[in-house]
Amino acid sequence: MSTAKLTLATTLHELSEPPTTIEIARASKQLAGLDCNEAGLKPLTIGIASSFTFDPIIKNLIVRGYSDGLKLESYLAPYGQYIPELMSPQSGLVVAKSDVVVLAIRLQDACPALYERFNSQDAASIESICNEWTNTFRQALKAFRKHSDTPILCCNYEVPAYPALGLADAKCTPSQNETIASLNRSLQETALQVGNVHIVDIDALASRVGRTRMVDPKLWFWGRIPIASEHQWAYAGEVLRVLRAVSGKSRKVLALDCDNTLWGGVLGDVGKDGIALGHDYPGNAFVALQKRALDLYHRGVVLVVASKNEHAAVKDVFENHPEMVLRPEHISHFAVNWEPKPQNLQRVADTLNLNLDSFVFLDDHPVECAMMREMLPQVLTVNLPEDPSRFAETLARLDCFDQLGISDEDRRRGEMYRKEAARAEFKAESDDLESFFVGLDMRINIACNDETNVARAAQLTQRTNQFNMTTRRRTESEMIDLMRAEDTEVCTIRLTDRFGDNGIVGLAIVRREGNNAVLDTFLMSCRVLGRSVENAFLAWIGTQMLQRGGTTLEGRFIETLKNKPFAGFFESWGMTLAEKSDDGSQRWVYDLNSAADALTIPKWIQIETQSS
Amino acid sequence: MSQENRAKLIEIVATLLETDASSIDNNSSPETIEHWDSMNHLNICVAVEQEFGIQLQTDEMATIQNVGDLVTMLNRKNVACA
Repeated sequence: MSTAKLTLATTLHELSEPPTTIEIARASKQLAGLDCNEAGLKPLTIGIASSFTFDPIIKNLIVRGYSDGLKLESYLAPYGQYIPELMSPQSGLVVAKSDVVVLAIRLQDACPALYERFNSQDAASIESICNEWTNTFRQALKAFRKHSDTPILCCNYEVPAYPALGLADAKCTPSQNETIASLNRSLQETALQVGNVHIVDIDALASRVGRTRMVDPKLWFWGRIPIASEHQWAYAGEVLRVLRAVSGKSRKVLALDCDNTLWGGVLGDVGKDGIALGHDYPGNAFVALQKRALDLYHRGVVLVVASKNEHAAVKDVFENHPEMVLRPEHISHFAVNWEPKPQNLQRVADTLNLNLDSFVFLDDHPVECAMMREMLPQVLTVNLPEDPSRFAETLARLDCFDQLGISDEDRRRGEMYRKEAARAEFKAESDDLESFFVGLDMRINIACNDETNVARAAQLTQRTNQFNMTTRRRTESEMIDLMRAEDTEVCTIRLTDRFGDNGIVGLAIVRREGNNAVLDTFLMSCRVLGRSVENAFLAWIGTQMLQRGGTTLEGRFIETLKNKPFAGFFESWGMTLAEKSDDGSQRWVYDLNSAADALTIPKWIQIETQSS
Repeated sequence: MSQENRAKLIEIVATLLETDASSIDNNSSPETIEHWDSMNHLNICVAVEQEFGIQLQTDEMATIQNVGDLVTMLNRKNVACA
């Protein structure tokens, strides 16, 4: 580990949870001088417009950002100037051209009447205040969108700790809580309309930390800081959580230990009938943890078992213990043996074709955790607390699996990875690659501009890092705009084989510029790479463009730390390198009339149906 | 103890005001230290609360004019500070 990385890791490790004011000041001073390259940090600028004193939160954001590998710099718009900052094309917020914009506008500041004078308004005036604010803010965001496509993280509104109508609030029309909840729904709608706007759920944060504790009256009345100092860290965490999801940095795999993690006791000592698992303490605490893990499985997190145990004994528990929640069908890999766990996880990562930085490792044992942190620092290692009753909550608190949305593919991901294991077995049995391909019985279905696929198409751009030509992230609303654009085709590819439906596994966005067809995006899920589907997909696109009178197909490869698997693709497919730019990006071209083989779909792939 | 607490207090003030601990004495105040503005006044008070495990009333925050006042306040709250 480099000195810079060590300084970074040590400084972050020494912080309390949450860090004190002094710790934040010291850490920010210590880390400010780190060299981004040496410390493995990515510089990122944040533009902030706020209705309150945001300075203390910025300090927390900067220090907390380091734990996400970010070196943050901020532009803070003049106090309370959020509307003009959004609307004026010359505002600091626009001119700063930051990588991301954070809007922290409290409804208490924007519409004080809804909080401070709620009972003195009639229903009509409350409605008009709400409509006026929603419209003003929506117009301001739309105006900002005209001069910037930067992702916007927008804080939502808190319902009050003490509704003005007291007990009667729930029964009254208008109810204060309901009024604010409905403004939050309007905000969500605004976000969709404007595009690339993502809600930071401050209302949920307030309810988690306690609405009465979220504010420290002293800080509020002294300095217009509406977040108590002990919760500023959590506030920063909530912003960073959305930022991670927007940047496609969510983790995808949860590796679970067994003894004293998934069940109580040591299986090798007490046997299947002796482990703690059931309706009473401590067994119920382990059941609760398993239920939480199963919920993660059903939203697309791949589950792996990593345990030092006898393989057959662990399998027996998963198959036959009556109180198990997790069953063998939920687990993509049983890494159960006596080898070091880091080695096992490395092997699983290779098989799944996923980077270790998308792994989370959960274990009760401090030594196993320390070893994992040491050997594979890119894995997020979570050491369970001593008390099993806190296990489920520990897993629930992890926000590293967050995604902007959940698609059908997510819900079925675990199943797909299990089938992938069956495919690997079949491949091992096949004599050569071609007979493996033929035996797979692959069928592809390509759909163009089909708006039912919007969620998955946007998600593929957010989650795919490896086989991704440009790594351009797109939101659902941007994707809809592209689908509706006259000169652009958004094509998704679904793959089915003898083992079942793989779902939508690839995306291409092609723009026609005269006779030139320009690939804006070309990506495939790494799950299906190396089966020639990527070749077939590009061949199909080339053929379509040729039929529409295109003469050349062009693509720009933008290299990142993670997309090495894409590097040789254009060349192997038959494209020629036309230009290497100063920024390192490469322009590749293909003459569609050259009658080369590239446009031929491999004979073992059948195109089932297609629409365009 | 009282010397240690004094060193701790000076260290808090110096860290938050990004200045050298040796330049701080009981007369150091918003008039003598550039970074001691209203926001940092609040930061100092919050940090003193956290580090010494005490609570300050908002009025007390308002009456603190310099480092000497912080020392007096700590002693009043049974934190021996020279």
